[in-house]
Amino acid sequence: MHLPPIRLQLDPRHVVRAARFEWQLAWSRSRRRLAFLLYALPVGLGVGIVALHATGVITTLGSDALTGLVGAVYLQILLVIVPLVFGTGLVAQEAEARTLVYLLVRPLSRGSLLVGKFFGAWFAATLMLSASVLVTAGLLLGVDGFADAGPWVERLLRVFGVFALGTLAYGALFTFVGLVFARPALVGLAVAFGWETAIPFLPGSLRLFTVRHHLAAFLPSDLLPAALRVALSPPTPPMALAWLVVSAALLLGAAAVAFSRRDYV
Amino acid sequence: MTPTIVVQDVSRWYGEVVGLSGATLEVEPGVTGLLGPNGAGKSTLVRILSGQIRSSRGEVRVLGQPVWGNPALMRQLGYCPEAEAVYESWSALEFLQAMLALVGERGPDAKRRARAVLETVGLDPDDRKSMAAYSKGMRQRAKLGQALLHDPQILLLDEPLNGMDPVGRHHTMDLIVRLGQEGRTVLVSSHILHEIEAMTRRVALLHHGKVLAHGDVHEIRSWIEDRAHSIRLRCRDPHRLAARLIEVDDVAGVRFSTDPRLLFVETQRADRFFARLTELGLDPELGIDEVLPLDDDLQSVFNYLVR
Repeated sequence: MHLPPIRLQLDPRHVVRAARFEWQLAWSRSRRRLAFLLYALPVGLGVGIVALHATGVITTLGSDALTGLVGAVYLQILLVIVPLVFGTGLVAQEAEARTLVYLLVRPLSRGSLLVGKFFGAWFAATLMLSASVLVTAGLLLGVDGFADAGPWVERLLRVFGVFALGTLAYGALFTFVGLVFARPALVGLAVAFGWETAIPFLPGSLRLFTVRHHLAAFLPSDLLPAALRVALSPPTPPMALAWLVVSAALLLGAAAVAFSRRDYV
Repeated sequence: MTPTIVVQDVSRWYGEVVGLSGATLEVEPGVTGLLGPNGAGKSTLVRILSGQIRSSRGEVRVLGQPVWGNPALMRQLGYCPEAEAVYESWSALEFLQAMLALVGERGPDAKRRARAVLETVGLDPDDRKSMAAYSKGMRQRAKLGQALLHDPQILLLDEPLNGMDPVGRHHTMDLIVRLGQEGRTVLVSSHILHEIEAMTRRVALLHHGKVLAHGDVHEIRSWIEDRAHSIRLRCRDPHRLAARLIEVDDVAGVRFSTDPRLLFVETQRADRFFARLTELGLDPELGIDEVLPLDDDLQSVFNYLVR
């Protein structure tokens, strides 16, 4: 097939329009259902812990329970699953629903459309994750009468930052996966729960090519799983930030080129 | 008139399946019907023209510009897809406003524009229910609305009448004719001949990925020299008229009907036959009062071409 050369066209105004569109779509009824399931899961767990605490079944401190939930559920699961869902679905969902055509015939370059949609989805995901952890923190810290609320303010700010950077890097990775692989969900799961969790076993500088290694630079060590705490020697925060942002930009650029070249029949 | 859409030797393959094979076509302002059975290549051609897919070979130009990878051209192009998919959780007004926002139009003016377009396509702008609850016909109208939103010069409508009730069909056909009369180029695909025939005489006939013919349906019929034209004549004395007609070799045969005033004639040379018929029509004894060509309708032309 004859492939005319495609330049990656990015117009900031068009990116903003596409981002607004995706943001609006993120709050539509059909998307809200899935979002509720994802973000309400740890809140539900938090409610359960509060109830068990109130009935005296457990006596764990609320702040300890919060450390466990943030470390295990938010950072280990949701921070990967949420970008996996929005990244692989960014184009595929619209292609499957056959609504992508309405976007492709607008005067926006495909590059701008993809990058804009990505940022709209990224912003919505970061906001919803942060809102979810805030509600969970409110519930669990309330168990101790907010005695540990002070230290948690700084910790939560770090967590919000990690959410933003994690969803950015993972989101770009899974957007790329979504556009390049035939079965993006399978590949995404293999990356998320295979490659990314294999950090302790990765030799030498290979661990630089995981997102989690760089995110660790911003987290208090007690929010990391024990295996990672031992194995990781996190980079400095500026170095980690540069790695995450540059790799996200490269992956998103590659995804935009793939999207620009692809036919949607 | 200068063609606004030029398709030159365009082919498109889907793996080993041929979607379009060496299609060549020029479309001028006004309504043009893109006609062919399912699988003829109509949707493939329309998708190439709207920049969704590339041609495997050949060249496509719309308003003198290449289509693929040319988003600026989309300001002048409106496309109504065949699939009935819409953003289910939005109302038609929200859908149109979101589409306008994508071209940078927001606020009260954009809302006014969206409302006006909904009225044009026959939807109630105050209807707040989500499009998930819409009938197929209502979805078609919403889809047509998004194609008209930015007042495009070129409209590509892929089976826009599918699933519409008779009133909606009539309303939409009137709208399409009006858009053509305003000087826009409207390419309407359909596999239903009478729909196209009600909107335009200008057609492109597609079959097995090839453009079999394009132009005015009467002209296309006149090119098909190897097929006899059938004509129904109503006159005072069919026997006398038959005797006069078979004197010359442009008439291949005549047939009488149970109706004593009807005569059916077959001719290979329609131009010569009609010239002679004009002379015969002056003879008051024959009393010819109706001449009806039976097979220069779209269905007959299409049947001749594909058989």
